[in-house]
Amino acid sequence: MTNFIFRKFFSLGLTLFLASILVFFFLEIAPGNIAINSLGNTITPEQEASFNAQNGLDQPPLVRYIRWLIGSDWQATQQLGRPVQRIYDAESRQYSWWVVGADGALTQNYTEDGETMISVRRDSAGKITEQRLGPEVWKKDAEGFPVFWGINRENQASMWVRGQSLESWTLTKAAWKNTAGAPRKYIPLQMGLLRGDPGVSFFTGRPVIESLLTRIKNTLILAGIAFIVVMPLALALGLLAGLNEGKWVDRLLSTLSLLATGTPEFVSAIALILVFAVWLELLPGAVVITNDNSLFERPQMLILPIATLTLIELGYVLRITRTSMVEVMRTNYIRTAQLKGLSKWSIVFRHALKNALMAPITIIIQHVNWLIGGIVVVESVFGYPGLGSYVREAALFKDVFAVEAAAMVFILISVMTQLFADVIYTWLNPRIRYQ
Amino acid sequence: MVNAQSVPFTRPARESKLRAALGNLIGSPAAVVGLALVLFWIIMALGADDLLVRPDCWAASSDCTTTPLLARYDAQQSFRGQVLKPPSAEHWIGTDRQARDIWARTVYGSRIVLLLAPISVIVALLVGGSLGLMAGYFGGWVDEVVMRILDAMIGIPSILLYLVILAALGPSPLTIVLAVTVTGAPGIAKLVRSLTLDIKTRDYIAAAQTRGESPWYIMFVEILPNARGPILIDAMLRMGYAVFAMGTLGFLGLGLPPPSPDWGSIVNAGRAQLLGGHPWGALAGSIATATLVLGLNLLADGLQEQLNRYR
Amino acid sequence: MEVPVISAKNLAISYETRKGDIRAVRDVSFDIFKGETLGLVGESGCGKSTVAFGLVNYLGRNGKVASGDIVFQGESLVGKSENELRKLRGNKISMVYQDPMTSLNPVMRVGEQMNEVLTTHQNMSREDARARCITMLKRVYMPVPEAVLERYPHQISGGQQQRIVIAMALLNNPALLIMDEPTTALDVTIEAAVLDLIADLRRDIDTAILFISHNLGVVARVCERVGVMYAGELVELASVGEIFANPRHPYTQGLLRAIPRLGSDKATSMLHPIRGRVPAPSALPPGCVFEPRCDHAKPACSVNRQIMREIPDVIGSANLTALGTSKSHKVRCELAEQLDPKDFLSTGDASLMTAPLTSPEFPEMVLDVDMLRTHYRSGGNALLGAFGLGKQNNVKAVDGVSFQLPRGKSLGVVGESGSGKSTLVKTIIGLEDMTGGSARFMSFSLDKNARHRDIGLVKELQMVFQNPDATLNPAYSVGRQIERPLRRFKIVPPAEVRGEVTRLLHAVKLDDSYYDRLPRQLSGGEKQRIGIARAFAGRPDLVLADEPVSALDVSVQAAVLNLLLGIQKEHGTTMIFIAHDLSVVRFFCDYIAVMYCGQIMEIGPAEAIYSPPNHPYTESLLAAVPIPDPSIAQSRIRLDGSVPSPLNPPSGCRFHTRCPRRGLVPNNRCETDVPEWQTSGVGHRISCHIPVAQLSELK
Repeated sequence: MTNFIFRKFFSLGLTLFLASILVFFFLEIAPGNIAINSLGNTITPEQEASFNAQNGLDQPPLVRYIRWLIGSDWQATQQLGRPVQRIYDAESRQYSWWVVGADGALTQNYTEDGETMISVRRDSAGKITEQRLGPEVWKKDAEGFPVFWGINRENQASMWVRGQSLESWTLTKAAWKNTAGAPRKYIPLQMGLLRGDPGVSFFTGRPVIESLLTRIKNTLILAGIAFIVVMPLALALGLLAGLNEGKWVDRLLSTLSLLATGTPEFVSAIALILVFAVWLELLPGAVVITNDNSLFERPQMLILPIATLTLIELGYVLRITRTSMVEVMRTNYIRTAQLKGLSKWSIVFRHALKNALMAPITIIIQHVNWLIGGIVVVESVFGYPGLGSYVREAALFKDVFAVEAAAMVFILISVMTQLFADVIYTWLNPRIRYQ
Repeated sequence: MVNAQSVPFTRPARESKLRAALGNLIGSPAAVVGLALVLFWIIMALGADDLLVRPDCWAASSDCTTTPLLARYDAQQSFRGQVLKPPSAEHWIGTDRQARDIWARTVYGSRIVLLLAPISVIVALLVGGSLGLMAGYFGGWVDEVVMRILDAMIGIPSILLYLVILAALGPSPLTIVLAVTVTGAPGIAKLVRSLTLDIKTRDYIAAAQTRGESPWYIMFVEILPNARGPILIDAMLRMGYAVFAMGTLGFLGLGLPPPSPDWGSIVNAGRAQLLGGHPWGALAGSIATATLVLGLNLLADGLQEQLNRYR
Repeated sequence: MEVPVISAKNLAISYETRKGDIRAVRDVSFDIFKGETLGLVGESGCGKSTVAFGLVNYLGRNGKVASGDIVFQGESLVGKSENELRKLRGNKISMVYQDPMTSLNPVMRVGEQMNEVLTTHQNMSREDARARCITMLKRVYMPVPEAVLERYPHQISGGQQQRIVIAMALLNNPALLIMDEPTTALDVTIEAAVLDLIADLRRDIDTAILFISHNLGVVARVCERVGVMYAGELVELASVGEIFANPRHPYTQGLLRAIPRLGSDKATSMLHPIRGRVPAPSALPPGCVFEPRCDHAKPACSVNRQIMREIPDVIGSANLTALGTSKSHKVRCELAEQLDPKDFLSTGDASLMTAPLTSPEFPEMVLDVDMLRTHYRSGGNALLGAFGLGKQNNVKAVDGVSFQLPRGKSLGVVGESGSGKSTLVKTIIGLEDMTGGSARFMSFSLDKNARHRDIGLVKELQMVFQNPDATLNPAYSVGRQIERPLRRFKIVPPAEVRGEVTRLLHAVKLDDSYYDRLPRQLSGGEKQRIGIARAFAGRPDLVLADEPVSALDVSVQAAVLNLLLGIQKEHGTTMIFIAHDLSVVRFFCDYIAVMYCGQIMEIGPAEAIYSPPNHPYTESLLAAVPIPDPSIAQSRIRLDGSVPSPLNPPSGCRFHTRCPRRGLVPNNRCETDVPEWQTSGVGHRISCHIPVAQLSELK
C-alpha cells in the first residue's frame, strides 16, 4: 500500500513538473511576443530589445525556465560575489533587492553617465543614503573591459560597462521613459516559483504573489462550499437513482442530470441570474467585495455562484455514481447477499455502498479539473474576485507571469486532490490495502 | 453435423447491421431527441444562406452574393436605429448593441461551431488514437513514457490549457483547434490504450501474430475496428465538450476576434445587457450552445445503450 | 411415505422480453427428499440454473413462475411475499454458486460475510456466531479457520473460497442446499477435493441437495438421482445407476455417447456428436423438443408434445428405497421402450476415422524441443526495467522442457492451470520469446518471434484457440478471415481464393452461406470450426491446439474433435493438443506429456500414461478425473493447495511440496535433488526419485 501511494506521489510530482514545462514553454517560448503582448504593437525595436533584456527574455529558454522555477538570486550572487537579499516594504507593498555588503549594509547602485557609480545604501532602520563611488569600483572583466556588477533600482542584478552610457526604455504610467546610464546585462531578480515568488506582473508591476494569496483564499471558500454542497447530495441522489434503476425516480434524476451536465456553466449562470436576480429579484446577481469581510457580511452573494457550480457537478457525479451502483447491484456478491436472506437495507449499506462508491471516487475527483473550469466561468460571470477571474484577466492581458502562477496553483490544487482521491481509494479497497 | 438449413438465412451482414443500428437508435427516445437537436443545427448551418443551393457560387465565389435563407439577414448587417430591440416580426429575437440581427448571428454562428468542433475532435482522434494504439500494443517503456506524459497533461485542468494556449498564441480558428486537440488527445489516447490492452489479449490477435502479420496491420486492421464503438461514443461526447469549450472561451472574451458571430461571443456581447433588461443576445447564444451540447450528449448516450445491448 | 423437502410440480418459468413472454422452463416436476442429492445435467441453455433460482423465487424483475407449484416443507413458495421468502433464503434454503471469487464481497472480511448469515436469521450473538463459523470452517477442512475469518476474499485461493461459500451455505443447517455448478470454475485436482468434501458432508448432514452440473462425471460422483434437462424440459429422471447404465431418452444416450471415456482412444472407438444445437426458448420445435436433433425421430415426433411418463426401473438400488426415494424411472419419450439402452455404448466403426498409422521403423521427427525455457519479467516498472533498474521478478513459465514429435502424430499436454502448457505452445509458435534451450521444426530453428520468422516457416505452424468468442475477429465476415492466410501465404492464386474458402468451409462441414456471416451470428461450435478452417488454410505441417474444445458443450465437443481428427488424418498434420480433460487427451493423442510448474513430469505413448507405472502427479490427476460411470471405483489420491508460483519454483523435484508419495523416498532427496529421467518401456519417461518398479506396484 505504501508502495502504491509512493508511486502515486511520484507520478503526481512528475505531473507537476511536466505541467510546469508545458505552461512555461507555451507562454514564453511559443511564437508570440511577450514584449508586444505587454506593451502594445506600436513599440520600436529599441524599446522591445530593452524590454527583453531587462526582463531576461533575451536569455535561452532553459535559463529562463530555471530562473522562473527556482529563482535567479543565486546567479546574481555568483556574479556579484556577495549575497543578495530581498526586502519587503510594507508601505509601498513592494519587494526590493539589495546586495549585502561585508559590513551587513544593503546597497543598490545606479549611474547617470556611465562614469560615476552611485551607491544607494539602506541601513537597518530603512533609511536611504546615497554616495558617489570613485572610479576604482570599475573592475576589468575577462575581456579587459572595465565593468561593475551591482543591483540597480529596478531589482535587477546588472552589469554596467564604464564609459558606455546605454539607454533603457521603460513604460511608466504616463509614457515611455528613456533613461541613460543603463547597464549592459541584466539578471532580473526573483526567488522563483518553488520558493513562493512567481515574478512581477507585467501588467500591474506588482509581485504576482501579492494578489494571488487573497484570490486563492476567495476561490477556496467558493469551491469548498460548492464541494461540500455537491458531494453528499450527488452521491446520495446517484445511489438513489441506481437503486431504483428503471423506475421513475431514476428516470427523473437521470434526465435532470443529463440536462445539467449538458448545459455550460455560463448558460446556467445566465439562467439563474435572469430568474433569481432580474426576474424574482431575490438574490444579488453579482458579487461585490468592498472589504475583507464582505463575503461573511452578505453571504447571499454566494448563493448563485455556488448554485451554478453545484448544477454542473451534481449532474456529473450523480451519473457516475448511478452507473456504479447499477453495476454493483448486478454483481454475483449482491446476489449472494440477497440469497442469504439479508434485508434490503443491510444489502445496500453493508454490501453495496462501499463497492459502489469505490469505483467512481477517482473519476469524480479527477473531475476537479472540470470544477476548475467552472470556477473560472462562474467567477467571471459574477465578478467574484477569485483565482479563476484572476487567471482569466491575466490571460486577457497576456500577463505571462500571472497566468503561469495562477495556472500552477490550480494545477497544484488539482494534483493534490487527485492524490487525496487515491489515498481514499486505497483505504476503501482492501485489494490494494492488503496486497 | 450442423445443419445449415436449420439456421435462417440472414441478409448480407452490412445492411442488416446498419438497419439494426438505426432501429435501435430509434428505439431509444433519448437518442431520437439528441439526433433531432443535432440535425436542427446542421440544417441551420447548411441552409443559413443559399450558398449550398447555388453551385455557381462555388465556382466563382468572387462575384457571387448569397441571399440569406434560414438566417434571413447577414450576420454582420447593421440596421440603422435598431439598437437593442426586443424580439419582433422583423428581428425574431431582437438586435444587439451594434443593431445586428441576433437570429442571423446565431444561425451563422452555428457554422463556425459545427465546423471547428468536428475538425478539432478529428485531429485529436488522429493524434490521441495513434498514441493510444501504440502505447497499448507495444507496451513496455513506450507505453510508460507516453502514458506518463499524457497523465501529466490530463492532470492540467483543460480550461487552463485553453487559457494558456490562447493567451500565448492569440485567438484564431487554428488556435482553437489546437487547444481542443491538446486537451482532448490525452483522454482519447487513454481510452484507446485501454481498449487496445483488452483487445490485444483476444485470440484473434494471437492468430494474426501466428501469421506473422506486421504490428501496424494488427493495430489498424485487427484492433482498431473492434474499438470503434466506444471511440465513436467518446468522439460524440468530445464534440459536445468542444462546443462547450468554444462557447466558454467566447464567453470569457478569449474566443474568435470581434465580428465573429460564434455563440460564445454572442453571449459575451449580450452579457452586459443582461441586468439591463435585454437578455436576448445572452439567451440566444446560451440556448444554442446548450441545445447542441445536449443533443450530442444524448446521441452519445443512445449509442452507448445500443452498444451495451450488442454485448 | 415421507414428505419430500422440496417438490416442483409442473413448474414453468417465463421471462418477459421485448418480444413477449418466453417460457425458459416448462413442465418440470421432481421431488427431493431429506438427505438425498438430485443432480440436474444438460448442456448450456437448457434451463438448469433457471430452475435453481426459480426454486427460491429469485428470478429478477422480468422473470416469474408462470404456472405450476413449488412446495417446500409442505408450503407453497409461489406467491409468497418477498419478506417471507427472505426468511427462508440463507436459512432453510441456501445456495452455492459457480464462481466463488465473484460470489464473495471483495471489500468485506470473510468473517463478516459468514457472521451475518447467522445474525440475520437467528438471534445469535457475534461471539457465538464466530464460534459457529469456525466449527463450520473446520468441517469443510479449512486450515487455520480463525485466520481465514480475518481475511478478504482476494487473499484466498479459488478452492478455499469455494469451501468458504459451502461452509457459509451450511451455517444455518438448511433443509435444502442448491449447488449451481460449484466446481466448474476449479482445476481438476481442486474439483476432486471439493467433490469429496460434498460427498463427506452429504453423509453427515441430512440436507436435501439439488446439484447442477454440465459434467456427467461430476454428477455421477455425488448424486443419487439424476434429472436430464433439455431445452427447458426435464427429459429423463432416474437413479444415478439407472441413468448411466440404462438411459432411455435419446438425448441422454446422445450425451453419454458424445463424451470420450477415460481409456478409450481414437483407434478403438469414436465419438458421436449430437447434430444441431439446443433451440432457443423463443423458437421451440412444435412437437418433441428434441425431435430436430434425434436420430430415432418418427414423423409423429414433430407433432406430438411428449409427456413425462414412468417406465420400469431396471437397475434400481436398495439403499435408495431406504431413504424413502421413489426408485422410479421417468422419461419424456414415447419411443423409450423401443430404444436399445446399450446403444450409447456403441463404439461405431473406428476405422472410418483413423486407421492405425503404420509407424515406420525410424519415424521422422518434425519437432525437436531441447531444454526449452521461457522466462519473462513481471511486475516492476517497465521504464526502470528498460534501464535495468527497479525490482523485477522472473517468471519461469517454462523451465527446461525437452521432447521430440514424429510426423503426423499428436502430442497431448496436460496439467493444472499454471503448469506452463500454454506458454510452451506459445513459445513454439513464436508468440512468446524463448529465453533458453532450443526448438527446431524440421531444419528450421524456432528461436525467433513469429514476427521475425521467415514467412515460409510461419506458414507451417498454425494454432487453434480455446475461446470460441475470441478466436474470430468480430469486425470481419467469416470469409474474409479464412481468406487472409490464403492471401498472405499465397496458397492459391488470387482468382481461386474464393473457391478455396468454400472448399475449406465444406471441409469443416459448413456450407457456403457462412461466407458472409459475422462471427456474432455463429454458435460456439461453428466459431471453433471456422477457427480450425483458418488454421488449416495455410496447409501447415504443425498445428498447435490450445484447449480447442474445453469451452464447448459435450455434444458439440465431440463433433469438433471428430473434425480435427479427420482433417489431421487427411493432411498428415502433426499436432500438439493442450487440454485439461484427460479423457479427451487420451482419446485424441498418440503421446502425452504431463506438465507441472514449467517442467515435464512424465511423457510417453498415450496408453502408457494411463496405466502404472505413473509419476505420482499423473497418478493424482488420473484419480481426480470425474468419470461418467458410477460403477467405476477410482483411487482416492488428493492434492492439497495449488501449483506453486512459477516466480519461485520449489527446489529439487518441483512436485515435492504436494506429492502424496513423498514418504517413499528417503533422506528428503525430493527437496534437494532434481530427479533423473527413468525409462519405462519405449519412449515412456518419468522424472521421479521412486524407482519405476516401485511405481508400477502402487495402486
